[in-house]
Amino acid sequence: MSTPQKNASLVERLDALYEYDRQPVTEKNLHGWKIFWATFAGEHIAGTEFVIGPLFVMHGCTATDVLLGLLIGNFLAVLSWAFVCAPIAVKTRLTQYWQLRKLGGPWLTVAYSAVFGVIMCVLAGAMLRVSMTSIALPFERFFADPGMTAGILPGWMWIILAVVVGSVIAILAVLGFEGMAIFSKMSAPWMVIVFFIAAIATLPSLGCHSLSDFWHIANEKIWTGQVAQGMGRFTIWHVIGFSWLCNMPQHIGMGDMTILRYAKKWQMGFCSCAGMYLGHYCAWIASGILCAAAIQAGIATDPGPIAYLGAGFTGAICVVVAGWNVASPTLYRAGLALQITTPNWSRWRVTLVVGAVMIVCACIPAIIKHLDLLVTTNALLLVPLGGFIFIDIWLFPKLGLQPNIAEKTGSLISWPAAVAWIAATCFSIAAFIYKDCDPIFPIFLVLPEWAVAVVLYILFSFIQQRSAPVTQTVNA
Amino acid sequence: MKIILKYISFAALIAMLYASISVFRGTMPKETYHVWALVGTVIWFVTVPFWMKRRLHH
Repeated sequence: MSTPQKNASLVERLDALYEYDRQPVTEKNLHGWKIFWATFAGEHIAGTEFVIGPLFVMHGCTATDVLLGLLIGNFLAVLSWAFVCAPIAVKTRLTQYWQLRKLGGPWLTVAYSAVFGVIMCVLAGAMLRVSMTSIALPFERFFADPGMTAGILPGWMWIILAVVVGSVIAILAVLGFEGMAIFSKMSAPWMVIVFFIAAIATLPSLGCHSLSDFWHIANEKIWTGQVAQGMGRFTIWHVIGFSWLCNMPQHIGMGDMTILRYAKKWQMGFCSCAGMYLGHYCAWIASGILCAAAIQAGIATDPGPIAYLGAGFTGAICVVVAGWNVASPTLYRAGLALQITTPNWSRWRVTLVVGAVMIVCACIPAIIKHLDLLVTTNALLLVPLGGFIFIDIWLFPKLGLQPNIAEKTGSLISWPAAVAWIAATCFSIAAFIYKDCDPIFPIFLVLPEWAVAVVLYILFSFIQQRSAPVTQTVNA
Repeated sequence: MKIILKYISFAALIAMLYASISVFRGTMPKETYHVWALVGTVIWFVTVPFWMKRRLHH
């Protein structure tokens, strides 16, 4: 084969990774249960679990708040995936971007995709940063003061780490759903074990030597109810709210239509319980235990150091792999979102560009310190549009309203969706300011915002369709 | 052959779990547990590509 042919073949192969983004997934491309168990487990047992678990310790939760609150919140999240997102994904077989285009028109989709893509880039940057806290561990020895075992890495060293690690993550995302799922599938069982063993082996250092000691130690040494300096107090309602809403853009916001459109049955939405109860229950509890041990030992509570404390090099490797497992699909989603805003760029080209943005974000240390606020902002911005998709498909026919109005009228933007989205977001911003910009308050704003957005969307759609009945059918 | 490798992979994970429980019970030093965990990790990632399906069916 000649060189030009080889070059052409490379581009063709990369372009062949196009995964039916703009068409419904066909019957022969559907996947069974195994891949969804692995995908959810891999995606939600991630490097960020090493950040969020300690959050509950720092926010002064009690053991009951955490153990019961997470149980309830994660249950609500599983129900949201199974009964809200999965049935619509299976019914339409489209990504949420294309479903949104049908109801809101191409301009609304472009705005949504741009916002979503940027947020995903920032979140992927946070995941990359988490991985880097672990990879940085051996290098810290080179910057240690005399007599010390570890020092602080200079800024240029973090940039090199971001470029090297970020490039690997971007390549994984370029390989598409298949490459991401294979990586996730192979590492998921091992990651679960590492979280378990790290926590189990750390308990003796907290004074827990038998199962009967656990409840006492959990209250006295781990989730003590003492709020760390500069942190707000979490109650059980914050724990329930956070564990339900931290993935709201994926379930009620319909982001996981991208993945679940490949499901043979809507019941595969229940596979999310693998991610929720292994990742957002066991792993958060495990990392809380590690955090308490790190505080006791006077070690930094960053993901890398606490994992190393719990399982040595294996823990450090786990943080890296867990970071990749969530950064890759996040970047994949960002690529999908931003592809729609480009002039027919191929997937691999878009993903490489968003990978570069992710690397830049990972160079900013503040990105990991404000992860909870990032996650909440993500939910507040994107959840209303997921609500529109839900209402458009299930409620509009019962109300005598036309679904997919933008597609039917051929309009560039459907004003009810656009105005309701903006108004609901303004409602949240106003409520946030009214509560003196309390950084833990937005957790409680997501559901009210969803309700405001949905009510306004129905109201505006009535006004739109009664004042100008749909008579023309045009393919958007 | 694949089935043997599969057993080896899961045996590695069980060994990691056993080592951490031993630390919890006070019958193994933490340094030894770290070595067990690392060896288990290496065995897992070396053996798993041979038996876990690497391709999805499009």
